[in-house]
Amino acid sequence: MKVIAAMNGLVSSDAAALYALRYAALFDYTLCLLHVENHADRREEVEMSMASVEEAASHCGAKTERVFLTGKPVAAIRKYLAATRTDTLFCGTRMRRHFFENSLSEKLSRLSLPANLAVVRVAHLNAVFVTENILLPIREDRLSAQKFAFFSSLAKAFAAATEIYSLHPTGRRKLAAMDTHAARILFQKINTRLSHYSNTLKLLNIPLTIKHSLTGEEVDQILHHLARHDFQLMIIGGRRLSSFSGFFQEKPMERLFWHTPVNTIAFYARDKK
Amino acid sequence: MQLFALDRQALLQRLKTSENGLGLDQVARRLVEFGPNELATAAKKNYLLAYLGQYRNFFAILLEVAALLAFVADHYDPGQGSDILGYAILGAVIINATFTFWQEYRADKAMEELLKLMPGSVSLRREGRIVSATAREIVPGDLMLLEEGDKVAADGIIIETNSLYLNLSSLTGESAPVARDLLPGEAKRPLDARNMVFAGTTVLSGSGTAVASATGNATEFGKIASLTKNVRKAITPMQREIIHLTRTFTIIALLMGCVFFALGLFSGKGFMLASIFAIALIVANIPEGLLPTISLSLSLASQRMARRNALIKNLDSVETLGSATVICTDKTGTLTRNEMTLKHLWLAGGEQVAISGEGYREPGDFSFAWQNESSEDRLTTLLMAGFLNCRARIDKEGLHGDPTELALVAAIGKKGISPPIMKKVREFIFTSERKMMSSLYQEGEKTWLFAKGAVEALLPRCTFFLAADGSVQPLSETKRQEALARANDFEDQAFRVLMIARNDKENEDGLTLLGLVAIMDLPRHGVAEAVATCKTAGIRTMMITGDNPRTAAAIAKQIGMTHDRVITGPELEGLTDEQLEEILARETVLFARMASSQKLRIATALQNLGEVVAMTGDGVNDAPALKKADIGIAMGLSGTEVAKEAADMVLLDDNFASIVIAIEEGRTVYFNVKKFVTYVLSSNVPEIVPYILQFFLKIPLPLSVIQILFIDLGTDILPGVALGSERPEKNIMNRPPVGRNEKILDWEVCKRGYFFLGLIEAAAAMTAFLSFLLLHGWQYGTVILADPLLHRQAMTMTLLGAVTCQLLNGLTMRSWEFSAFSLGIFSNRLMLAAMAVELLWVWALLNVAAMQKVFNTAQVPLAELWILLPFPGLLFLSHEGYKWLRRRRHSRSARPASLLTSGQTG
Repeated sequence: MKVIAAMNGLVSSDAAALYALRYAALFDYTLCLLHVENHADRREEVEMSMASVEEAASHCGAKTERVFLTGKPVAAIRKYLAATRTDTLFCGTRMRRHFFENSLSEKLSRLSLPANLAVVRVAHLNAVFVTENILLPIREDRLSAQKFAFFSSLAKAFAAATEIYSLHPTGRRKLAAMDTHAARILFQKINTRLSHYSNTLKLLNIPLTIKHSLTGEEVDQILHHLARHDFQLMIIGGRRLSSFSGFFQEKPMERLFWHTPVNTIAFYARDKK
Repeated sequence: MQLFALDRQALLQRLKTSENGLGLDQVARRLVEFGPNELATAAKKNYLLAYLGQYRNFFAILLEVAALLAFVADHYDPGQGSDILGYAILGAVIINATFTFWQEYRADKAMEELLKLMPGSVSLRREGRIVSATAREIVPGDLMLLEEGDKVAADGIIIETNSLYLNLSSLTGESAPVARDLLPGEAKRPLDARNMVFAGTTVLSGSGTAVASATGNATEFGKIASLTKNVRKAITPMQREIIHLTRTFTIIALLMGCVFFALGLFSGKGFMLASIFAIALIVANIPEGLLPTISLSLSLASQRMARRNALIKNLDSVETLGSATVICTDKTGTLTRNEMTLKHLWLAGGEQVAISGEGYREPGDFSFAWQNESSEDRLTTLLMAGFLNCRARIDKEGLHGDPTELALVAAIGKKGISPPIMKKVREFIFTSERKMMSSLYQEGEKTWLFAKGAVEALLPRCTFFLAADGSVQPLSETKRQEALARANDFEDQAFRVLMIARNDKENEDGLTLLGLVAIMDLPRHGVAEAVATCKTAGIRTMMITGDNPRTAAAIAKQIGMTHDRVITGPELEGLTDEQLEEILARETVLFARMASSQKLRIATALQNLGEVVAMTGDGVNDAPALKKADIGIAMGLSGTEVAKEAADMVLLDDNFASIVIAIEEGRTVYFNVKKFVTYVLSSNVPEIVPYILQFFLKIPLPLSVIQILFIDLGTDILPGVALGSERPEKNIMNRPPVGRNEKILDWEVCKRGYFFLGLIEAAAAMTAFLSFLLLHGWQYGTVILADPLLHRQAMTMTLLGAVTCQLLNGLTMRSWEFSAFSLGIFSNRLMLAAMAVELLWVWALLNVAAMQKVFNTAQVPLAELWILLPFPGLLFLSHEGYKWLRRRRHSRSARPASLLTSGQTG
């Protein structure tokens, strides 16, 4: 089984590769440092980046391999994924978006892939070295097994404390009408539904806190939470958007992804088909 | 390992940069990777949705339904003009929505323009060269070159420093200079690391180089900025009032429409006629011009306020200002000048010197209590010793350095002396442990050490003093006690006291005492008067400052800001919310040594007590409190971008007096809105009464729906706007604040509008209509006139009856209480212009064929217009009489302050 880190010599792709390395090392998978040759990237920079990741891998005893592909990046990667057994593909993403020129991560996130996809948005270059607290915001109790597995794996890999932040969207009137008792019952219900996840983390010896929030603005609430607490990584569930999503207003998760003040990984589970 | 804990080489390696900085291609790529260094503080407002929202208020929905009914009526019974009515109503809705939206859009744009003024240029080292770039171009890994006075544009880790001091108040609320170092200390978080600089902070003195570690939203500044988004704000009193007004009018209109629809059906008028009646009554009952007039009035007020240095972001906030009951204000920069001024000197020889001239640039004189022939020389020696030990400077480009040092530099300027030619050899920096600093100078072969610092730090190091005869003498215990007593005197008056000494050796011990300097940030001009105005206006003023209680109390005393007690930050921490509310309910408190984060708690406690709170602030940490307060007031000059965004109002001159001016405008707006609501209601009655009479009596239709819209959206708008821009009434700041429960649409407004002035106007309209018909041989009972021209002429008379009354109604309504004659004819030129336009409308109605066609009017013989004459005069004089009676009643009951409180007296 492989974990792939798509690299292009940029610092954000290096950071994504370091996350991939931690993940691969945990499961003893081979870390495949992949680059699709194209005119925009410099081969020597890519190789330097790969060398630095290989050096880091040697410290933690992880196996690595270099793969250079040619052709159109998305098609080449898709073909490569189809030909190999890959657990997760990690790739960095750029902050500035072009309306007519989507980044590789944006293109990949729209596809059905035979592997999980982790798009890494780097806000702090250093956070990849010092990850002590990881946040997983979810709506109510909606947490897929794949996303949880990815979240717990990274927590284990970094030996980090975790927090599941459950947001319950509530209008102003409903919020005003809700008393403490009703809120407590609601939160208890969510906790019960998440109990199998918390038990799993307990077995893995990963510290977990579950926090709840009643809020009208989910994204603002998460940003507020991030500002108040000391997280180095946030994992969110990515949504497969169409090429035309840019025509309309930013979707909440998209907004969160672009405005986050901490490193964030958008996780897209593999296509079951 | 955290970035700030890495050594220099490891740090540069991890950020993939070098001593020479990033390469230009690296910068370009990182800009794409990390985005520009700017805050995405709020989601962009969707103007399309905002515009569409204007069609969703009660008035709009009701009129849209009325238009729909008109189209339905036209579908089933075409040719009756119902379609024109439908289009006219829809036109009214569109005009209304567009106009209101436009005003709000302009206010938003004004704020955007203000935010664009944020500083931008920074010095960076890239490819080994020093380059200038905009702040938004900084990327992680860039080497930022920091100089005195610079605003730090991104979070970074220091790799080179030369006595670097930062003002971190925008993050921490503490304005004391904070030293930066090459080592992080025992920090675990970036904010505690001594080798970090942060976006939004300012370099007070020194210089250094820092590697950018985080930009944009990832900075500590960016994180705190997001805190402001989650503070929920209650709706403003004006929004509440508008909801109340629209609901009330909607209910009245719907009720009347339904009643007459049912009556029409039961009396056998048929569905069509009953529907038309219902629509007409709904349209007549809705003051279509009200919402755009309120928007325009608020907009004009906000423009007036901008001219007086108060920029309003949200139009509704204009009126909220009038309701403010408490102003919680910062001290530094708002009540005071934020310029330290050297006011007194004590020379070690014993003379005391007073210095005039405030701030850094104002000229001033030095006056001795007594002096001898060496006094001037010793004064110069003292000033020069202070000056030579400063890093601050004042030049054409502005002020650079620590405010206390700037006061010493400014004193040299006032004295008009030029510094001697000496070479600075070394500087022993100020630390909070040493509480002093000194500089070593070389003058030829001679060495001079100049020292300044806290009395308790410097006095033990002094063994000599410069005596009155100019000689250096041993410092006796008596002289030591005299110096201490002088310092205590100054400190008791809230001055910051520095001792100045020198030595002719390279030694900080064995100094010669030269004297003391007493420095203070003086109150701004006009602040004392503004505080006094607040008192008479029933507004409590509370100071919330990070400064010490003694200084805060002294400033409060100087400006007449009385307080019952002083609460410090640590004391506040020990109070429960209930205890705090109990104290605030009974007493006026001065809050000292406060952290910015505590402001939110104070604002919440005051609001829980039912107070309408105006709160000032400038730092990022102030933003939640600014958002929570009913009126958040940010400082335009010293405020951070985040504070400005969170606030409702931005003070362009940072001056407390401008807040009071804004409150006066706010109150004026409240009463002006009250006046034009009364004015608009008055014209509703002559629109409703003709329909009711026509329903019950056998008379022709006196007024068409189009003519109703002509009054509401044609002739009433401009006088309404003119009333909205009326100047403050004489006693506006002598009355208590507008209460939370005080309604614009109260009994007094209804009484004057509907039952007094409105009835006179209805009488005028109906008298004109019926007299004209009777003069032309009409017999009671004839509902459909054989001559359509006669009917149109009679309807024109009804319309003119209402419009001419409104002309003089506008004049008398200019003051709620005082005589219109006391205001001066030309004091509101807009009203004169509005009257001129109204007359033009009337002329056009009578003479322009196109207007006659659209509004169903006709020319009326000039000789028959005399019928209209008595009523406007009657209306004007009776309202003036009514106001006179009210004034008399109030003067007898000796309650002048409540004159404008219509709800209580009506």
